[in-house]
Amino acid sequence: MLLAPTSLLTPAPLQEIGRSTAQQNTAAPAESFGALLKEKLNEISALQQQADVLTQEYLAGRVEDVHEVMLALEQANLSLQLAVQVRNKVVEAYQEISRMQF
Amino acid sequence: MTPALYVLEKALDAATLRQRVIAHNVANVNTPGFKRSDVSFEEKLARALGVEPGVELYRTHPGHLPAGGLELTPEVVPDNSTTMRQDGNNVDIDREMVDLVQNSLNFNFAVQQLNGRLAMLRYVINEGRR
Repeated sequence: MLLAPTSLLTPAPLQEIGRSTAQQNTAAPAESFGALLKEKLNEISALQQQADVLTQEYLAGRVEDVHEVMLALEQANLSLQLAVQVRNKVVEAYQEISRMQF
Repeated sequence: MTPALYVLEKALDAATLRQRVIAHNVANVNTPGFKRSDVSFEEKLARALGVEPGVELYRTHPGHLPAGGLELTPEVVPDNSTTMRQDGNNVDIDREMVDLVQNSLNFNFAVQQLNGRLAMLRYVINEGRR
């Protein structure tokens, strides 16, 4: 699916927020943020590798569709840009917290 | 350098060489006895990608050159097996035109792919800032 990584960022409906946080406080989280990050980074890596493979296959004359290869590259490009921006936001947030005065 | 960048660079070499070879063929469309040439690159790449494994020679020294291995330099191959006309010339102008169009499509494709990959690298180096 195109741009699958953004689906995680879809906000939850308002009325469910209170309930879900209350539930999360009692139950252990399904997976840690680190595991989630690692999984998404692996997805980006897979997209890049797929784009590389498709490009080489096209140049070798085994894939006929140009649009397929162009889309694969664009998908890899966009997911990489999203990852870089998320990383920038995380670093920004960390610096903001470390600058706090108590 | 990643394999894709290397392959794209070689593909651009091949497209440039093929452009010259096609121009040469077209220029000699009325030369008696002229045999057209072609550029072999796709077959070499397909072999190097390992789907059609060629016969590999055993090497007794690391300095020996591989035979039919990962060597991707495009090569000019003359086509001596056919004849189009009474004078021995075998240039089919329609075929050359189709090859020309296909070659320019491949060239543009390789340039765009290379640009996209270099843009990604540049983006990461700049950390998303311009």
